[in-house]
Amino acid sequence: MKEEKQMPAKVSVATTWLQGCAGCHMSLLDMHQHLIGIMDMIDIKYSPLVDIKEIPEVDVALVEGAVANEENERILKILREKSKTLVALGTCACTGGITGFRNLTTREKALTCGYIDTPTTVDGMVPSGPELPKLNKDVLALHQVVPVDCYVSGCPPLATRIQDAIIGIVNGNPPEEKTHNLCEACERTKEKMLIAHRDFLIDEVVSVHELDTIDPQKCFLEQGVCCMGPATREGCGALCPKANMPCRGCQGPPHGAPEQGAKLINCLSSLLPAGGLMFHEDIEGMGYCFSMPVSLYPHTEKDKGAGSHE
Amino acid sequence: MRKGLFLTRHHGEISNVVNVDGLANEYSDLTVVRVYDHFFGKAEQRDMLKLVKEHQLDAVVLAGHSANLFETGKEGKSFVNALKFQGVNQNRIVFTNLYEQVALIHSDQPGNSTQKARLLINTALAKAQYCHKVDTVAVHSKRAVLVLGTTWTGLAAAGELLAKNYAVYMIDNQNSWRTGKQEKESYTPLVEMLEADNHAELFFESGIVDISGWYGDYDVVLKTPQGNREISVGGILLCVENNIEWIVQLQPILRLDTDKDGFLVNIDGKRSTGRTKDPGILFVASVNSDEQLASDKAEVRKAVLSLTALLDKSQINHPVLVSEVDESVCSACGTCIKTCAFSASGIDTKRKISIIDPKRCKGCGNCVTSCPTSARDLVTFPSRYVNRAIEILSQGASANGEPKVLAFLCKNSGYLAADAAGAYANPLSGGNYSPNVMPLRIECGGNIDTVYILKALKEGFDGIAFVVCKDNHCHNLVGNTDMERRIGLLRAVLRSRRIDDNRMRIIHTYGNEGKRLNSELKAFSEELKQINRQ
Repeated sequence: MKEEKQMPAKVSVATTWLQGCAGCHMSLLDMHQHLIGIMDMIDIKYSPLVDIKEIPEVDVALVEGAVANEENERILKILREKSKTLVALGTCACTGGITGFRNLTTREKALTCGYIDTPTTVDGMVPSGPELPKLNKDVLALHQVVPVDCYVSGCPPLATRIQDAIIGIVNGNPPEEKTHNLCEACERTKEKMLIAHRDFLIDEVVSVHELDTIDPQKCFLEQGVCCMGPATREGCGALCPKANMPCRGCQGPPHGAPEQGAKLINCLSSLLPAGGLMFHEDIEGMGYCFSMPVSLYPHTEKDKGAGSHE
Repeated sequence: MRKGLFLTRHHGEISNVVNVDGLANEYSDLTVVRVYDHFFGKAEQRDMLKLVKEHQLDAVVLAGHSANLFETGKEGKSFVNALKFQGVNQNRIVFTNLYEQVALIHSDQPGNSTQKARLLINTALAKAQYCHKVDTVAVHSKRAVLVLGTTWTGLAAAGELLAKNYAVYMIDNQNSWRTGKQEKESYTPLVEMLEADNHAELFFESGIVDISGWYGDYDVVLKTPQGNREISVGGILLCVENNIEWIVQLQPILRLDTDKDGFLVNIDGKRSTGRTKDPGILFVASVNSDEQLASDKAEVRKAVLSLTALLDKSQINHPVLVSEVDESVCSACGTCIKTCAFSASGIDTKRKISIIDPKRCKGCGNCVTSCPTSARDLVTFPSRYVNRAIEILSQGASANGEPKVLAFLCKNSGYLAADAAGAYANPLSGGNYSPNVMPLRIECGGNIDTVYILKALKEGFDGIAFVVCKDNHCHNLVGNTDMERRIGLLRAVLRSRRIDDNRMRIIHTYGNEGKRLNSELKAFSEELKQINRQ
């Protein structure tokens, strides 16, 4: 009891995962020994990591995952009501993430595909029942449902970024969104990109595995590999390019240019031959992999040209 | 922001179709709204200028005539200058075309015309709202001219220029005079003068390596047998006659326009003497035969006069058309450098951001489109405005069952062609394109962001037409081809979504092909009806 009096009051925290993969929570645990320091500052009152059933009033809510069904929406709204600061943790929460790809089809088709049409399924049936929450028409990012105070993007966000965010919030300086694109952090060298001459960087478009050697120093675009770096928000310190792989865009679109895929089209068509790009890449899958719910991209199967989020 | 809206009935030609006075009543929330019988009377203009001054208007929307009339027409330009003199920023003087693009083309549909006029006025008001002020750079014009071609027209031009007290640099890519022997003899005194005059310099076997700047002040790098030489001139005169080979070499450097035979054409698309896309670069059309010596002389004089008229002003104000780069967003990825056809983009390695050389930038917006972080924005057509305009224009009612079409009009071809379509509109009812085709003027094909296209689809347009310059006629060299690449990629993406990519149609046009544009747009609407039925 004596000890507790000397310590400053801990910040109460609730965490949850909605439509996600729990990866962001894994990243939270990846803080390893630093967790001990963090636990001195916060008190986890509600979380999939602890066994508490009721959501209490808290200072901070860390929410992972997108909003895909009625239950997600219910939990999110309660958390919004009971928390002072709501943090969108990870790309699904910030921009919809991979789960958002379902918006390209109807929920009926998605369910049929998942529970019946999969090659390994025998006598499949779509599960139903009063205990199962209904899927929403579209997957949404958190800010499309409730106001969000703070964003930590990444799939998953680096443990250090989660740590910085928590420390920042506890000390009253919530982290600001990074505004630059990944090229800011990438250390690869650019040569042809910086020469003002109208020609393509390279005549062909290739996948990384088709290269005999992947030059670890040279910009991926100059090697003919589609890299999402230019159209992706900085925030990971260019981890993939450092590991000799092109960026996949998991941090989501940069500040001020929410159309990641459209921007990729704009940008790449000046850099690489369009024919090669068309044959080689799934621009839709690549460009909108992490940001479909926040994009203007048309969802044709539901309604002719326009894609509305109800 | 204090905004003024001035409408014209244009002697009834507009008001017979569009309910101009009724519309004016809808905008009572603006600082000033006035309807005039016409715009170009002294009393009317005096009244408008008085109102601008009295109410200290920040923005003025002139609803009636084509923007082209105010940007290139003599009367229009002088009125715009008068408005600027009253303190209205150039970028906040906005024009709405209710004449050619509404009243003339849709004369048989008054109801729809008034609705269309309303949306166009709203769009113009949005432009006034979202456009930042544009800065100007004052340039003291250089009293020197670069003459290309040691032809006799070149010689004659040099003589005229020297007489007007201009310094002359004359270059040719071959090693001797191009004049015939006889011609040269008749010009011996001039040749001697040129070879001796210290106001004139001759370079044979030379060419242009690089040019930057704007009329009044060009920095030109010449490649001469003695090595590179930098000169500074106020204007450039091409007297290259019909030397196609040389024209081909010069074309990308000077943004020259040629016809299908490879001859130089001026901005009207004609072979006659005139301006190129750059106001400070002129050419002399030459017939090059002895009989027509006299008429060629007249051509030379015409070219020299129009150039010196431009350069005789002591100070020229050039607008800076591409906005500053947003430092908090740009990380110098280099896409803009690769996109720019004019080498106007560069990287400041110290600050690690991209920079724009205003003396090279033509304000085409291609880099703005290509920037993956939206760090750049076009001052003349900011993306916020274009997005808002798409929203406004999508409100057009499709009461008649005609598909809703958004037509992006390149200001150098499509917009002019739409004007021409109005001027030569089919008098028969239903003979023209549908009022549901909404025109949206833009800087250049390169200015069309894929985001705008997705936005238009989202806002419920059935189809999108891109009316741009023909191949090799883009005023910004690559704007139309870059747009096609982007649209080509988007087509592939949309097809994978089972959206019929025929909902997008590119229409290449010259500014005078009004009739063709009219029938193309009609055909497009018909095709969209088919697609909608599927």
